[in-house]
Amino acid sequence: MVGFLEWLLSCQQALVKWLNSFHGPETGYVADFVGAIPEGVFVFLAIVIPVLVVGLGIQAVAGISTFVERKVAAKIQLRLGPMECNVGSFVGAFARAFCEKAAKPGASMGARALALVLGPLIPLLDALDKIVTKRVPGLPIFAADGLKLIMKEDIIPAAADNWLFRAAPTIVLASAFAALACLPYSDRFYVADFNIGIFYLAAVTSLEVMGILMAGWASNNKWSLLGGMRSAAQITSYEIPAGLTILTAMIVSGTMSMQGLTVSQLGVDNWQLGWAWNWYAFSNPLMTILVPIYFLAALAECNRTPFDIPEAESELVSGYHTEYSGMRFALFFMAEYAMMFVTSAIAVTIFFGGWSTGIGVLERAMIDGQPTYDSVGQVTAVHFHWWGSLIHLLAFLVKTYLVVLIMIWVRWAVPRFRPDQMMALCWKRLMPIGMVAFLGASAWLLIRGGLTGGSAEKSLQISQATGVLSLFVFLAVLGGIWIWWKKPAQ
Amino acid sequence: MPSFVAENHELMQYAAAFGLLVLAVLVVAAMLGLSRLVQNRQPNPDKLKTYECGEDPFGSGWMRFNIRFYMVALVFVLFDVELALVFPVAPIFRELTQGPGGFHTGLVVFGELFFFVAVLFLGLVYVWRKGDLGWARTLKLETPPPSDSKQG
Amino acid sequence: MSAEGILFWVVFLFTASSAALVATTRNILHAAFALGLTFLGVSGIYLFLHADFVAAVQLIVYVGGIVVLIMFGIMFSSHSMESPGEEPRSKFSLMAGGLAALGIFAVLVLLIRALQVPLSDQNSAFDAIYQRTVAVAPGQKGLGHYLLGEYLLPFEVVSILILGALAGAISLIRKETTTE
Repeated sequence: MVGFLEWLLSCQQALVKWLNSFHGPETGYVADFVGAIPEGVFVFLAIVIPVLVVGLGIQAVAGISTFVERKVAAKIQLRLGPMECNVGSFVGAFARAFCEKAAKPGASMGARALALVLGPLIPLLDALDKIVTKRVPGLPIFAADGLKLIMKEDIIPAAADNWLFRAAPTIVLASAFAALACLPYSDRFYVADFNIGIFYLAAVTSLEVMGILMAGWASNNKWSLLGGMRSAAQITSYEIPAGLTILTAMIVSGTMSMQGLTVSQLGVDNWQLGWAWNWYAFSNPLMTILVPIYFLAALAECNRTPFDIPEAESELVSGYHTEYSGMRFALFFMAEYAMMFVTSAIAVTIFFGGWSTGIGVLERAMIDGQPTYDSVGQVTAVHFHWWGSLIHLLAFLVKTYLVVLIMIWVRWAVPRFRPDQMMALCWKRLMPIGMVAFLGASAWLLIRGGLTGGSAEKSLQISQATGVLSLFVFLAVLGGIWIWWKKPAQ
Repeated sequence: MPSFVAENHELMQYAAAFGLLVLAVLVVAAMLGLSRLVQNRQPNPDKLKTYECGEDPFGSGWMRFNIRFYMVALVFVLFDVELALVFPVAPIFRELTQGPGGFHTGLVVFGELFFFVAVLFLGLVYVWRKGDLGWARTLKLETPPPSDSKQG
Repeated sequence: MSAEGILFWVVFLFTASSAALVATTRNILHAAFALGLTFLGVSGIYLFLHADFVAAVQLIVYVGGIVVLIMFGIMFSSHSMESPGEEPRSKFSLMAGGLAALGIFAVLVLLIRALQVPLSDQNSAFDAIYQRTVAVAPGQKGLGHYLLGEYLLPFEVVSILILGALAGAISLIRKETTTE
């Protein structure tokens, strides 16, 4: 975002220069005006524009995720999912009906004007329908569902605590949105890169718990309260293994900032050449162990199956959001999908290289200038062309969405845990493993320090050796799982 | 870089986070406002009753005391504080151990960190052995169904 | 009034009004939630002091842990949402409370003004601490260096303190339960 501000200011300068180059009085006035725009305006724009883009973008992502979830569920359950709602049948039908009504005598001027606008759109919508429906039938259902929820009556139970009931979805959504501020969408296009990047994410996730407790209590419904409390206990418990994973990632990379974590997995300066095997999941056995641990913790933080006891449909109806109807319920839903996106983004940043594409030749082709190094020979910043940054943005979004897809897949494939199994899993299995991994990572760094003795080339050699070794270990483990899977039952 | 930005670099980034918080509140207000405009309001005393799977609500909205929730939150707070204290140490660990003379500095630092984590691991083991990490299965969590219970 | 100033006043008003809500509201659970919001505001104020790490720790430990603990305690001990009894507030208690608040406010103002006294080459004590930490390493790494160096003993003692707190709290709770 600071880069964005610099870019805006440079645009201002360039515009002033260009206008002044005409040497005319009118352009001179405009140039003076442009030059006199205070810096504060650009600061405001540099803050507000990324915030709006990200905030509105996540709503679109959350909406489409509902559609994706229904289609994935359908595929797993050998059925078709939403098929009927298409552009033609949804927007097209609405446009046709509206135009028909507006054509009747007695229609208002406003209706006629709108019909004039909608009329020519109908053939366009039909064409769009033909293209989209063949490939992704039923896509507009997420918009139709959103409209339906807006039009539902907002019932607040008489016994509910008015203010807390209304405040709860705000807090949950606010925590999900605030977490979007520090994600490393690309090396150039991001909202903010805090010094305490990952730690900030852990902090903001803690805010969610308060909102859920509020929702559970304010509904004044025994089962909502129970669901809310279980959810609070679950989310807080699973923050510890997640925190330990993040801690290990910080030890391995030596930085807290998200951009720093991504850059340290690029490996463009040494033989690894920016290929995907430099990512922590593949190049560090301790981090490989932590991948499933973090994934489970992320599922638990989003209250997704197999950890969805708080929403257990067969036990608690809908848990802490039973009493919420219409748009308020939709806000909780949006917050859940936003949290899924955020935790997937964290997983991608820590384990799978953040915005790096993983294709070494592509990365090297996009570099603009020389990387900057720090005192121990690690890369701290790399500059890419602007089109490289766009490719990175795409890579980040694709990778994050793949992890979200896996989360959705797991939901429909696995039954739900009992509460005691869930707690035992967290405290008795995941946390000790996390602690051992964290201590192991620091012990390894210690040994490595002893072996290199501070020389940069020895450090490089050790990186190469361990990189190859870890890759072999990773492949061996995969092979072992494959063999175990395919072994015929004895 | 202009002076305002140079001095308040970090703060400006946090302004973006603040902006997102404000955006969340605005989104909630906008959506609920829109909903209020187009929704169908037909209040009805049945709609205002607490939902209990179609039955009339029984008893007040509280349940029996389940201490395991409180215990879990307590253990969480303590491990959370431990985690928060280890967080500043983690990022500098690498540069402390990889520099020249790194092994000896690193050994000391590792020893300090190890002691900290080991003491808390002891705590985890203590709580585990005492059985306070378990979520006992014999005690029912849910309140019994309304039809055969006298208390809420 | 600079943008930073406006932001600070917004955060300050949010915190102060939440704190006022904590003290004056009749419903204890509303007070607990308002406390959570107050901690959120305090975390924002820490940001203005360049202490972003402390702000995050405040959120993680206080809002995510302690407020949750308090809420669990209240939810288990209060029976539904019966409104609390209406006790009349005597004039005496109001006056005593007001005087105590004024006294604490005066002490705080004096303290803050004392810390603002310019030191040899810094603007204030806060600035001095910040510059010292940043001088060791940029960003928040300075904190880590201090924890492992100058303040090592408190760092290790804290772990023992947490262990003691854990054991103590658990044993206290076990005394209260009969069915576990």
